[in-house]
Amino acid sequence: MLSCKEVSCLASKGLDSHLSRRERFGLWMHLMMCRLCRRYVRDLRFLRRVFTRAGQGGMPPAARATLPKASRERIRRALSNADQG
Amino acid sequence: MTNTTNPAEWLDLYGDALYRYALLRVHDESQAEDLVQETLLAALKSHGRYDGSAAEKTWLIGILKHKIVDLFRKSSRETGEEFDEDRVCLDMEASFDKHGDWQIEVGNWSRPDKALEQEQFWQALSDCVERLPPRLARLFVLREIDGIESDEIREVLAISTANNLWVMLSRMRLQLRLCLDVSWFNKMGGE
Repeated sequence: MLSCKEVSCLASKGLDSHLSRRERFGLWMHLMMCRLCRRYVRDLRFLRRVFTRAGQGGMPPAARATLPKASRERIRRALSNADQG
Repeated sequence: MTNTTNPAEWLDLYGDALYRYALLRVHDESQAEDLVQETLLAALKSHGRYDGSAAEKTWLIGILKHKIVDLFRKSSRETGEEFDEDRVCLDMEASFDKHGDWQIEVGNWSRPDKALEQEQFWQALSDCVERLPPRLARLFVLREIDGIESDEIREVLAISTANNLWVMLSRMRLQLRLCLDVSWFNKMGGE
């Protein structure tokens, strides 16, 4: 019987790669009996959706940040120097 | 060359977009600013090689993406923080007892989908990502934000075995989940 610790790792691994038949069976057996791990696995799937959305639309504060004026000018100078150089 | 704007206009047209892209991934304003500058300088140099097939913005983001991956690659080697599996398991043991059972509260998230609509939720997540150890934060960006394949991630972050990668990913997600438990879902429990 797998421990909760092993299950947390296997469930996470399942998000990134294929689990073997044996691993899937072990996971399933444990989840049948463990409410906390069922909760954890459900939340991992939810987080995966959250992260995908973050990748697409960004997250505050980065999503609405603007390049500060001073660095914008600094970059402008660097670009025009490079252009002439 | 077709449909390309004057390089002098890139900063005004795409400066903010590039900055946001970088900031989401490095969580550091001055580093993000530097990355924008390096990207535009590199683009200026290779402007002649841009064939106009991709949208200009996409092309610039592509250059920036490479710069960020290079930065991650360099930092992962510079700091010499060799991944130490024993330490990771030790850290994870704070969450599990000696039998591997949960010894922390795995909070019951009520209506998590509602959170997605709330600005503060994304702020909380962003704060939680910032609290990750540097290597796990880079792992978060490569795997979760950019969806990069595991072999490439291992090369970039110098992770020696696939198993180490699975353990690190698991630990990263566990930490984010715990952090969100405390900073978001516990507070929202009463609603």
